[in-house]
Amino acid sequence: MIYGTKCGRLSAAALLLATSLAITACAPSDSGNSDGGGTKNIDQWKMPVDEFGTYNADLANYVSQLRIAKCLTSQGYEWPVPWQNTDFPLPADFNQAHYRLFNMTTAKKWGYHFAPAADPRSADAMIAFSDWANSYHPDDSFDTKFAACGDAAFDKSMKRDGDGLNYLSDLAVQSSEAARQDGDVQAAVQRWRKCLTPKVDFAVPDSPWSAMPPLSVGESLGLTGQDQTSTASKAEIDIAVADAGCRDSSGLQKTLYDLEWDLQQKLVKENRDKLDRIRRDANSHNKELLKIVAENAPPAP
Amino acid sequence: MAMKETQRSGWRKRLAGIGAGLVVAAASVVAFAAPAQAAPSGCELGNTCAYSGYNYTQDWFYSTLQFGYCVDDFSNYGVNDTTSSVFNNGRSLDSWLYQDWYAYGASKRVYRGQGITNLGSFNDLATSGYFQGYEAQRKTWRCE
Repeated sequence: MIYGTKCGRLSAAALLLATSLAITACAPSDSGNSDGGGTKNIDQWKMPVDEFGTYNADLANYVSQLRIAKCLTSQGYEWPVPWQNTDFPLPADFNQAHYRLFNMTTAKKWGYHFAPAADPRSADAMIAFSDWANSYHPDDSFDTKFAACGDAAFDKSMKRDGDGLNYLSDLAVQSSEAARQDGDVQAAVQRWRKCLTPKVDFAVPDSPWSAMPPLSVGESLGLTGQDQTSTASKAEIDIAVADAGCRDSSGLQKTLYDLEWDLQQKLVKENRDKLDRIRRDANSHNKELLKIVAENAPPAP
Repeated sequence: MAMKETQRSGWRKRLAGIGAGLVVAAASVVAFAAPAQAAPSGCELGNTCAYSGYNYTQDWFYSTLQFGYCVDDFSNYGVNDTTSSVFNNGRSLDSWLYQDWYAYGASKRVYRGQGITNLGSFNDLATSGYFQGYEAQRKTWRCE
């Protein structure tokens, strides 16, 4: 059997977090600031770490592509990077931290299916370009030249702020994994299973995050497999609504959210200086990126 | 490990299990560039490659996965919760690994042309993966 076990992984993550928090408890705080996080918003799954994730990595990738275009076209190649909405709005089922939401609102609208692109004109243009780029093989030396242009386009500031954003991801996943192991959360998971079992005609999985809906159900609903659909059927929405309702009535959604929030708040307090630096660097960098786009991007169609 | 490829709706599903290894490739670096990261051997241009071992190798899970668009559930390929390093050898888009399937849960962004040799707290957690923009309606039919 080649699968990893959740238990082993969770223990490692929990240990990381426990160690981290233990250090926090012993160390004096020099932040002098708020604990971070602002106001809770469970519907948007807003978390304390989120406010530090201001780096616009989509914008950075756009700049990188514009640089690649300049590099390749100077060598006689094509690289038609399209216009992009520089706000890079996410679909409505993702929050600003790129966390995919599942709640009663999303369940009623889309079931388990993805929400539509927020700006289809911009998103479709980039996907079309990506399709073209993946099939563009003008000559045998192109791949090497592309690699050179690509390496040059990803600069040190992008590396620094990209690493910063992934540091925030590390904090988020630590808190998520630790919260999922918590006894109160596990008890709520059992209540969720008990609530959902009579409402659906399949075996409810061990937890919402282990496999909900199960693979065979996902295939029958057109979520995956050979007969995928782009929108949810009534049957899927019924299941998703029942699922979301049980996550609410069991207290799972709120228990998990509150615990993750508390854990992240502690992590913010512990890492405040680094987080402030990450945000400060990102904000400055974003302005530079926007300037580059303004000077180099094609006009809106 | 044998290559796996499928065809659907006229699209080549650029998804494959691969043997892992390391390669040193020449890369041009200009003054402002970050240190270049060479794509691991066998990680095709256009794909994101996920490895069960650190530094783009295989550990005792013996698993590697590469995808060109998106994978809703890594367990379909026997690599769920095994990824320890990842490289985005795509041409135009960043990619994402997610803690749960269908892009739910915490996530890790993998920048185009860059890799993460040790996923750290995200180690052995990835269950789904998407290139940016494929987590939206009308794109997921390309997902495996």
